[in-house]
Amino acid sequence: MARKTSELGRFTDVALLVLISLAEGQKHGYRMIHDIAEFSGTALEPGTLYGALMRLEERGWIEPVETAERRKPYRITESGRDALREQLATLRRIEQAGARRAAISWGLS
Amino acid sequence: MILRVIAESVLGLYPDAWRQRYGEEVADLVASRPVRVRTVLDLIAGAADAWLHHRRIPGRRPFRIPAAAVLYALGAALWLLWNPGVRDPQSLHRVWAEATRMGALAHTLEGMATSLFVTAGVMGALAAAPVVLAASSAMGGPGQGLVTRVTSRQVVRTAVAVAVPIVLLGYLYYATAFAGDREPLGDAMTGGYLIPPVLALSLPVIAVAAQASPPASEVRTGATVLAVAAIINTLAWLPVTALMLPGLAQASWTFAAAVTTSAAVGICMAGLAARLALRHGRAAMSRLTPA
Repeated sequence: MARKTSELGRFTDVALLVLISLAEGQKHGYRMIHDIAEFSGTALEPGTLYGALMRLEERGWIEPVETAERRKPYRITESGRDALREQLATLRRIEQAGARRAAISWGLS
Repeated sequence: MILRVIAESVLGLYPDAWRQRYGEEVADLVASRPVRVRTVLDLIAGAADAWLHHRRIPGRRPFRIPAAAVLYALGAALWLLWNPGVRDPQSLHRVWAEATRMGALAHTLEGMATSLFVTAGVMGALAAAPVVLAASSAMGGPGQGLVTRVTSRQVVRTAVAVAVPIVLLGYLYYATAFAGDREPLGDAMTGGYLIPPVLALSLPVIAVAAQASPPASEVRTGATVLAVAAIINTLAWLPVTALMLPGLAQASWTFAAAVTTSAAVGICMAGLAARLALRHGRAAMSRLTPA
């Protein structure tokens, strides 16, 4: 996963936020920005969001949903879900290691 | 309000493929959300990123520099190289002085280079002639379809448009290489600067004619003539090289560099024009072949 996400460059964190946002259902750009701001406190701008969407779509982790509406929704694909699971597992390991080491150095254990 | 207008105009900086894919969605986001300085800067950074990573844009077409732009650039390069190449009398004189040690061979080589360049130029200028003749007879032909008649008219108009600069180049060649009192080496090289643009100028006629089926065989003939002209243009540099080599050490480095670069640029320009013409010829012929 680290190898796969390293290719996302500065969009790695934004891509994770987008995948989390789409994990509960399809959304268009406007709703994604609001949703991400709500659950993470990150205020994304359009240029950054669409830079991440371009990369996620290119690697097949998300796909556009055909619609007649002006705003095009995106949904997460199966490989996108797998990538999200892997990345969340990595974050959990990091969080556990961080908590353990912080507890030792602060004398909380 | 001003920031919104700026943000919308920044979208014009994105690559075409990106705008076709995401342009409407992002324009909608910009229209429906508050726009701050940060938004504009983010869009500018996004445009730079999209250009840097245009290969990642879904559904993009491969990025190609238009052939016409390459031909223009090569033509401009030849004009820029003209002065340091053909109009450096001191270097021309020194190199020619060394070449004359070969005796009559030097004059033979000079005559050979000039003849080859002239032949290439005449062939290049006349390459489009069969196409133009076929088009002009098809223009008034009652049995021809509307598309063929319209294309034929375009072919004739294009031919008239390119004929003027071709004639001017021909006159310039005559005035510089034949009418004036110049260095024989300069005369031998002049064609190398003027003939490739002549070949490139014939290309639009063949390109326009390739859009219609009836003059397909003439398009192929024209393309073949242009290809032969490009080969002759390349061969013409061989006697020039033979004349230059003995006295190259006596010439200034700018002269040597300019002539070498000119030969490379001229050969590339003529070769590219011929290659494009042959491609048009193949495309025109394939339209005649039933699928």
